[in-house]
Amino acid sequence: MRGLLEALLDWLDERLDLRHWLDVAKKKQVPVHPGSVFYYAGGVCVFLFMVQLVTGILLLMYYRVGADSSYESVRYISSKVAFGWLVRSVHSWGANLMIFFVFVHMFSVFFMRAFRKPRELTWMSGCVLLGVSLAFGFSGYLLPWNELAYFATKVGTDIIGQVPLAGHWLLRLVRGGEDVTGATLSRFFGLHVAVLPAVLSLTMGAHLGFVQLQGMAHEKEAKATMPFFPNFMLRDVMLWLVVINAVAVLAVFFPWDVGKKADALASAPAGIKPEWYFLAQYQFLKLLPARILLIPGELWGVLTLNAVGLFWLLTPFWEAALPESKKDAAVRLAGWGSVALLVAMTLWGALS
Amino acid sequence: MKRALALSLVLPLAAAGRAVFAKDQCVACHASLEGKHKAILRSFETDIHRESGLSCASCHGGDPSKADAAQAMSPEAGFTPAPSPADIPAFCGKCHSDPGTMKKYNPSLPVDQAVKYFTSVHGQRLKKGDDKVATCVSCHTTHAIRPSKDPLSSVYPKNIPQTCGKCHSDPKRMAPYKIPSDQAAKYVRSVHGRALLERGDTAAPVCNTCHGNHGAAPPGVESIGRICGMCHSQNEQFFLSSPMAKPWKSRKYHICATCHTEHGIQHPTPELLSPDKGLCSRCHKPSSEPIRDAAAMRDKLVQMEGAYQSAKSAIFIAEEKGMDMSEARDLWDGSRMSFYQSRTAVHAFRPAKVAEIADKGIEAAQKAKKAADDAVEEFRFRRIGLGVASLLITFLVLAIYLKVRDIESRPS
Repeated sequence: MRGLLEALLDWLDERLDLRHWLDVAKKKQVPVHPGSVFYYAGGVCVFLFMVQLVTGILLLMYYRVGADSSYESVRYISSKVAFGWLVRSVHSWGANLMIFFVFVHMFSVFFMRAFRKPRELTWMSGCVLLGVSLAFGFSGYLLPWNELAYFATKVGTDIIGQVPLAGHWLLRLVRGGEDVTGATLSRFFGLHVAVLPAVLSLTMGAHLGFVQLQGMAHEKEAKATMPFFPNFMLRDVMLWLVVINAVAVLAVFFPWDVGKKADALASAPAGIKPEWYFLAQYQFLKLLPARILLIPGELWGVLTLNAVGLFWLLTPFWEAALPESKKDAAVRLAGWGSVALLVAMTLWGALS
Repeated sequence: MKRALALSLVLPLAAAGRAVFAKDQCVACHASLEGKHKAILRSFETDIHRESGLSCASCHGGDPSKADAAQAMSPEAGFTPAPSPADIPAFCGKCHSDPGTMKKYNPSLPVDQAVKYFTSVHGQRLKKGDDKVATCVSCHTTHAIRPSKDPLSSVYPKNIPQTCGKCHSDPKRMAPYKIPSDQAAKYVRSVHGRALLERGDTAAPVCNTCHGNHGAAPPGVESIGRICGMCHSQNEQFFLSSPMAKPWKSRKYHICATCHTEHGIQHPTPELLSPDKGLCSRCHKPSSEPIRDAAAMRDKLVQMEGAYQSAKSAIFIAEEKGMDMSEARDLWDGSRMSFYQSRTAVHAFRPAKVAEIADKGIEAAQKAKKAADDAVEEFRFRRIGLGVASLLITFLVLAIYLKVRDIESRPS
């Protein structure tokens, strides 16, 4: 067996200079310090994206987009297709865990100040990846065309209509008309299975490329390091296995419900709320009064959320502009403030 | 937009009503009096007539601009005092029987109430000089009249048993008429009463649904089936086509009430067809053919109910485990339909008819139960699969951990 693997490696090495790349990986060092455990979050995000890709392709084999076929095909997948329930539940739970780990990865990078020069582009491409992951969640949520998905999309896209000047035009563009209909479903499907995977793959490629080119932050000042390959890589794989096991447990004990078919004429179910990753924003918008200084409260909310997003995206630049003595305090304040606010607003949204 | 339009129409009317009411000398004078004279004003505050811009003089005539009571309430000014019971239908009918007047206020309201009233037992007796019978104000109140859709109205469906019961539950009052006074008490405990009063289902029948409101009369032998058939149309059709219809007619039996009673109708169970304790044994001899037929129908209904309930429990168990039971639920819905249809088919008094419908339902219920049981089995399989997968993953994680330790224990 070992001989066969060596022969295969030799064959590939002759053609692709594989051993050179393995040497590069072996030379790559990962800093070892109390916060090193957070380095694995990025790897888990990549792994879960792969899981999403594979399960998404499997779902595509049976999913039929359309107001009169989406719900039925998802119901068919969940009840008739062999292991269809597993694939669908793994896709749904995987999506939620992926977004969770993207947040963990982002905050760990923030608190380790790994966004500082020369890693501004790595940080910014990471922010784009967060945005694309959320767009994946939002667009995928509608695809089963059930009651909850329908109303969540209706409320979510209503917010787009609040954008000044272009709001109504954007709303029509996203929905494919005035209301959430089969046209919206087709658009979200196209976005979910073609546009977003392409954007995420390219951005992730660039993001990983930047990491490889620039190496890990704090590598030089770290007291100890470990080789990326195989030491770090094997630990990564261990965590991936634990994560996929956790996803399987969730899929078996909490399979994703198909719900009731979307009905535009029905009233919205009582207590309807968005997915947990939009709850904080939703709660914030809910708190705003109808009008502030004659301008609709929701518009203020949308502008504020966009401003906060831009502020977060430009972290490497505003942090660099601060006096050296205030940098650490500012990062701690912004970081812990954001975590506390997100957790508090999410819990408030969930419990109210 | 619609709300704005409605408000723009209603608000000026209400405002005008209030303005007129404010300058009204009837109001000024009655406000300074005590007791029932003052109470009239308080009750009239929420009256639909006042909301529509009408005042005391609209019904009683007189001159509300005069502060002097004698002038304001003089016969010359057209004043009509509180009418006697015999005059009340005509008094209200001045407007309510006039399509022209009613069009101005509520074109959707019928104008035949007074005509219908005189066809009712109440109206007939009033004509004969009995002034203790119900007239318009007995049910609608005198000065606190609200539309029947208002939950506070005395004629809102949930309040009707109490409104009718004011007189009909009073044994002293009913004694001269030789009619019972327990109808409202029986109704409250009946399947219809519980639906209306406990579940708040305002579509459930109440006194006036069967007796009529303005033309209130007890349904006769001929009409009771028609009245129940307004809602239970299939039961009526089955019964009229059954072998029981003819003897029932010749013996002048009420087609529904003979078995189900009138006011205290209870939820029917298959035991109504029981050979020994059932209703059929009241007339038919034990072990006669009708009793055997009844027993056969009872057995089929019990079988149907058993299959239906068993499928329901199985689906519940599977759903508790997070299994998708939408298909089983569709089948169960079909069996539920058959369950109700087979109970209805009993009124045809043909066991084969009941069996034909019930068997379809039993089959659907059995399929639903099998789907639910299969889902529970599938859930067990999933757990076993998860257990095996978790073991393999744990083994792999351990193997990698040992490999990492091995690598890191070697000198670099």
